[in-house]
Amino acid sequence: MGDQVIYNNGEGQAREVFQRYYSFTFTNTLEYKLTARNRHRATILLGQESIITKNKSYDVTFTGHSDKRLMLLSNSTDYLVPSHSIVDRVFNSAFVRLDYGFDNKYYLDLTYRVDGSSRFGPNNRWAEFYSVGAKWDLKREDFLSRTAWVNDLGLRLSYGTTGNAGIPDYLYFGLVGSGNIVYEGENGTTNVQAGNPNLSWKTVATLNVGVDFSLFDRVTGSVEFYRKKTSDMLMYIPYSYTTGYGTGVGNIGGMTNTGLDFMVNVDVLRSRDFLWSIRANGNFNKNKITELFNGLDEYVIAETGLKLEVGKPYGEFFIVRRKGVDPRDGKQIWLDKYGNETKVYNEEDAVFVGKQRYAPFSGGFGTLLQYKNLSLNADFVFALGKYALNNDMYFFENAYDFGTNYNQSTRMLDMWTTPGQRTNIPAATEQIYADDHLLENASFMRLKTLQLTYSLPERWLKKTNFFRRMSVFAVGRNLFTVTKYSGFDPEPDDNVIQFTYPNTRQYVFGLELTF
Amino acid sequence: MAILTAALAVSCDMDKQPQGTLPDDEAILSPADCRSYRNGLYATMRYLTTGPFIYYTDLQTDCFHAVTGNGNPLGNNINAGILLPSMEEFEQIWGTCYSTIGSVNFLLSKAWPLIDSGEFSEDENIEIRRYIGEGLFIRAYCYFILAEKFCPAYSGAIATNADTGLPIVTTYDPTDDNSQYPGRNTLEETYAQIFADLDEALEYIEAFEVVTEDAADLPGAMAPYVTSDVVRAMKARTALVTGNYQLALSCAEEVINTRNYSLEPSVSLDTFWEYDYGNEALMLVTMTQQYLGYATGSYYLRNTGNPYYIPTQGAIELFDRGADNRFEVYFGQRTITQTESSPHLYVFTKFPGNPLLFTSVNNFQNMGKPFRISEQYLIAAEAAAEIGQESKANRYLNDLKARRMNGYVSEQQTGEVLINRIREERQRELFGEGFRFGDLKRWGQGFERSDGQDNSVINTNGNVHRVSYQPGDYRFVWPIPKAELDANPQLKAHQNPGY
Repeated sequence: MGDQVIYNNGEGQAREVFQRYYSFTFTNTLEYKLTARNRHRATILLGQESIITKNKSYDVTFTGHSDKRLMLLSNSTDYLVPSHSIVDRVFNSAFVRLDYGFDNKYYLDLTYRVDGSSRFGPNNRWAEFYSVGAKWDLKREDFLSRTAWVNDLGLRLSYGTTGNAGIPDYLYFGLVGSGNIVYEGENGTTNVQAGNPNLSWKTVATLNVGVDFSLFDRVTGSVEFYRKKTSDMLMYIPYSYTTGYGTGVGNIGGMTNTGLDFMVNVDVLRSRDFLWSIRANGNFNKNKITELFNGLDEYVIAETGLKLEVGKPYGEFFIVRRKGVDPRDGKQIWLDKYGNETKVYNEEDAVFVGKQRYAPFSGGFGTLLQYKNLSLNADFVFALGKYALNNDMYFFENAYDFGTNYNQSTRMLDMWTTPGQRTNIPAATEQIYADDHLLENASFMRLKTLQLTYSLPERWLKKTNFFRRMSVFAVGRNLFTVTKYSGFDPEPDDNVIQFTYPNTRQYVFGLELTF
Repeated sequence: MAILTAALAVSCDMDKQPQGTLPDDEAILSPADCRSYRNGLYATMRYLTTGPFIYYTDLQTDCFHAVTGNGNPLGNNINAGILLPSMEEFEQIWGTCYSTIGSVNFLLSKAWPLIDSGEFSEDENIEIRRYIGEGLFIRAYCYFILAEKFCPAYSGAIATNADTGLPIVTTYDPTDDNSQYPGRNTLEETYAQIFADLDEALEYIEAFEVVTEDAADLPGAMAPYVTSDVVRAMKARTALVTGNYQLALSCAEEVINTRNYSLEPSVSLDTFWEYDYGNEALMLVTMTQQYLGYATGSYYLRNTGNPYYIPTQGAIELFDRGADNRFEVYFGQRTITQTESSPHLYVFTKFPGNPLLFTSVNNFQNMGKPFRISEQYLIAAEAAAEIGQESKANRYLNDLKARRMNGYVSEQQTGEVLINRIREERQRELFGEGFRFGDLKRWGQGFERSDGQDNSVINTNGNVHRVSYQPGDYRFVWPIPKAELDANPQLKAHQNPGY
């Protein structure tokens, strides 16, 4: 809820915004536990859950206030078309879960659930999901229980399906709306949404195999392999305009993600006053599109440099290759789709260039140094094999469209001016295109945070009888970045980086009190 | 399972209906619902009769030059003679027309069952059929726009050839199943569809005009709705394009002879174009300050800075500046500011912005005037000349010119001279209203754009200011938009020649 009043020298406006959002979750479960001979333990759980969400909002702006003392909505002379929305949403689930453990060594759990959502039409509302999981605590086995250097070792394996209804509400309805449609003073209506009664849940089937370990009292970590198969993705796809619509939503396509996650922490040195630990985590991921809509093998997403093709990863750039600038005339040389040189730019010559928008390997590492009450913590993040279209460069190195009106990069000093000049910047008369000269390796490593903290000894604080903890700290964020990317910031997760406000370097000094 | 079923029994109702919008099978249940929906169609007509729907083709032909530094607005490539299937302009026209056709098909799919249900009185059924008729007219209007741009010129020799017409859709069934998408019909089928829609529309609208008690629904100047006169005018226009001169003449004469409309006298011609008020318009697609269409004039006039496009020298020279009372209305002088020189040149002022529609400053909005009586005079004259009724042709041409020219003395021409006089007059009278492209195409003529009024202020890079098309140039047929070809496998291999 809020209101906003702007006087603006006699062209004032007053605005009221209201939103009320409820979300109720009702869960009913029935659990039965049984133990037999102290070795068999089983739990059976039956449950039901309903989530009811109601969101109501409106936003009205009245204009024409000319006296700053009279700024109620009713003091206006005119108004803007208000917005008003009431949205209801219901999710229902029923589930059964069976846990079984034998001898605290072997565990098995099975779940089965049905989920329903008001976001789907009556015939496709419900979907069934299940999962099977097993865990083996090896440390409890005789052959390991006395091995001192193994503190903990577990193996787990699971396979299961989950559903996702991540689409706007009411999308399955074909809808006719009114509002702001007036002819000859009468209200009008029009179709606002094509509707798709067949919409249903997107499903993800995941296979996980993992190891959790703790060794030598020093090393803890986990390694997990996964394979996720996504099907019936909920996406907007282009329709033939002859349907009356340019796009519509559907359950289309599938992809797989195969990868490995790891996490490890090593306490390198540990004594009464001193601790030094290092940690690292990472993710290798390989994505592959397995199916597109309408039996298509490929689909170009217009003006993004992206194309979807079965067998290729989602996010591999599809773009025209620029080979360079002809020293003789300063014109650009592109490669056509067959690899022949050409001086004519044609979108049709776009090809897959083997460069990914999403980093196949990413993660972070860090270290902690602690001496008595003083600690130093550093966290790095990195992404390798990530590419981005540096769209800002299109503006900064473009004499043809912007050179006479806007500032340009200093690289423009190398612009081709005389025959024989070897350079990558074409002559001022040449139109610049979003070809692969804008595509840059945006792999990076960045010191995300560096924090130094001093905590006052607790025994001092005890005397105050008030403060329980007191610490002073200094934090630096984004202190340095290693990258070849020439734009402002390689980190945004975007295929086309344009005017994205970069991550800023920050210094924070603070005092933290707990009482 | 039994317990799960029990659990589901306590779950909450998921039949949630949207608020503020209606599921499409509940949206049209009464004559009043039909009326609201067709109001929505008229709101779309505001766009179909203004802006890009008017100026893209005029920019393409010999009418206008791009002013240097115009910021590359949509249409600039078309003006430079560059037409690519991926260009947004084509998708805009194609998409808007088919979206409107889809809306009409939706209305028909909901309105006919109301009549068939027998739940409404005969008067109500007449009313519903009137809305159906208006819808059919708008569908025909859209197919005409599409055929004029995306299909070759009509001739008996090619009209039944494959890939000459449009995909014709007359049912509403949006689907993501691309095997259901239509392929191209022939040109013959395309125009047959347009005529069939117009004939049916005429029947329903005439039947309604007999019973209506509201004067605003009747044919007359500036009718806000589609009247029987408007349908006849559209039939005349379509018949001219398909070479059915007998039909074109009879429809145009029928409209002229109603005497509902008159050519503006010179004193009120500027009011007609500025204030969208006068007896020349068979239909006025009305706007208000809140409910506007495209700003047609915004390409030719700006509140600050140079206009994007100015008339070619050739366009200026079409008119007899001293005698032609259209000249001062269509053209006005402005300073075009460039770094090297700032000449005083003619700009196009036929769409000067209606002061009643201004929102604090001129927004260059003028209401759509898709049918003017002068066009019917020109159709009648041209059709009559083509079938050898030359005295009639001379009469309609003289009637028009007498109104437009001070001190005009009637002439009697024959043969090719007469035809050419009519064509020249058509070019003058309808200048900047989007007709030139279709006219050149059906006449089988090419063009060469003249030099600029002052070449120093217009874009002359690569000699684009002198763009010329041979008769039958492939660009007289626009490319089917790439987005459509990509989405519709039935069209994929059926692009127009040359692209």
